[in-house]
Amino acid sequence: MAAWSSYTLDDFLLFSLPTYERLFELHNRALWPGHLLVLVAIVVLVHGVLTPAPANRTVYTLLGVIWIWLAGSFFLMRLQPINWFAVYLAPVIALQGVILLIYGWVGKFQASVPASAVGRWMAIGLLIFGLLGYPLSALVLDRPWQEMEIFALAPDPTAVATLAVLAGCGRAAPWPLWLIPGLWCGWTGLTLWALQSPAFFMAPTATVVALLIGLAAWLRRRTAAPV
Amino acid sequence: MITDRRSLLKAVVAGALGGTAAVLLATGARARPHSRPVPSSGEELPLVGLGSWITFNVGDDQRALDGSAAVIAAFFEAGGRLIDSSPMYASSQPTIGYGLRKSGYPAQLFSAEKVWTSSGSAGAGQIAQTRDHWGVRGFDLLQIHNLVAWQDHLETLRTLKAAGQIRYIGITTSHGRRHELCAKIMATEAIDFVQFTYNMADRQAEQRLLPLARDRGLAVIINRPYQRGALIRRLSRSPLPVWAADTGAASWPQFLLKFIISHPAVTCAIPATSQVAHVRENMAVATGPLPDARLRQRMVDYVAGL
Repeated sequence: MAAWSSYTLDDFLLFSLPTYERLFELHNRALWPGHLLVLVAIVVLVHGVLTPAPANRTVYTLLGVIWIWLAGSFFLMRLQPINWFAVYLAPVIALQGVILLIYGWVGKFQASVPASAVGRWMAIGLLIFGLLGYPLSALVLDRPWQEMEIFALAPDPTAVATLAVLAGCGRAAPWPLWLIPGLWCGWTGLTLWALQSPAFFMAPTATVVALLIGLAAWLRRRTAAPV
Repeated sequence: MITDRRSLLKAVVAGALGGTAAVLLATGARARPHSRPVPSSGEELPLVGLGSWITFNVGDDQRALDGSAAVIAAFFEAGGRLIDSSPMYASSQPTIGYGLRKSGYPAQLFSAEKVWTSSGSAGAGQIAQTRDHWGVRGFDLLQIHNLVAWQDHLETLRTLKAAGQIRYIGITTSHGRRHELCAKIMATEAIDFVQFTYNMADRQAEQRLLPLARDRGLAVIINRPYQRGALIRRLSRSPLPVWAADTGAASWPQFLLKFIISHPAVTCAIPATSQVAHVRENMAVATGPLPDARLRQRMVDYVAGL
């Protein structure tokens, strides 16, 4: 027990920041021109979210497929060689995909109360951050553009975009759907902090924002519910 | 004054040797590192080896693989021998294998590996996989990483040693952890090597493990000499003392490494790096003068005062 309490986050690091960041360049190179498919997915996602009657089933099905794809393409194929723990993370990521798919198929979307106008626009802002801001942050942080972390190909922007959808782009989603993306954002934040990356705060901050939007929607739902 | 043919010959030879020495000193080339013997065999090991934690875990990134291979080549070129790794370090083992293939498996290689699995029965399989990663038939040294399942693995290692597949057996710990158990194994089991953390910010090993290793005739490998660079970053904010030249150190990393390898019970320190310049800087530490006890105390006092 005393031995375990002496461990710090730094002790669990297996790779350096340059190695981790370069991983995304190698990933982008390997998957090109799959990025064009990602563009299509982004258009479908944004359209599904912004349309007056949100296409929840389409949006959640799409996100579910993307999470399952990430489990194999990123966690098992890309991350695992430098982080053996990715073998244990991959099933958890795939599980999130399955949960999203199930919710997309059987979720009772009409029964839930939508987020407020402010909450909805904040969630849309968060979604834009996940889809556009996250990849562009590489340039702000003076990383090569080839290292951009892109929605559907990299876990962090995908988790942020998913949290944005869950928070209120459509209607606030049940809490079990939040668990894995939220935990991942915390995990990646801690990892980047230990690696001394200036980007360590992005995913955890996005999670906090999403939680606040979701909490506000939940409070609205409780207020609106008949006694 | 040269008075006869014999004197002339002596002068020519002396001049040639002196000139060669001057060139060697000027270039730093072929200056062999100081070494210490492994107590159980008398085999000499250079005081500085090469670690692989984090730095060689580069996956299948060809550019980084080539960079790591260059580090390994520079290490051998500077007279290095001991390379240390572990199954815990993810792709570090295949990276070392890649570097060794590119260097042509130099005869001077002293391969130090570890077994790291909580299942005693899985140890032999893991060691076989490690051999494949390195591309070698056996290891010079196999250590039990962080004392995990140490009793079972010790049995496996003794079998391998008896079969001639490994030459030495060792145990490891790091970060100052499990020193009690480590000392117990050192005192009671027949092992050749022990590896633990020792540096200017973590001198706990001076109290018990280093004297015990000396008493028991164990070779000592020191990990985390720079605390994964944190110690260098911290000290670099302060000036290197003028008298650092007396220790033979020209930089903070050299100052820190000089302190470690000058401890008489230390056989080898294993800094890890991904930079050729840094591996050369580290190896140079083992070629110059080493601080004596008085100078070591001065080094401790100076760092403590920062």
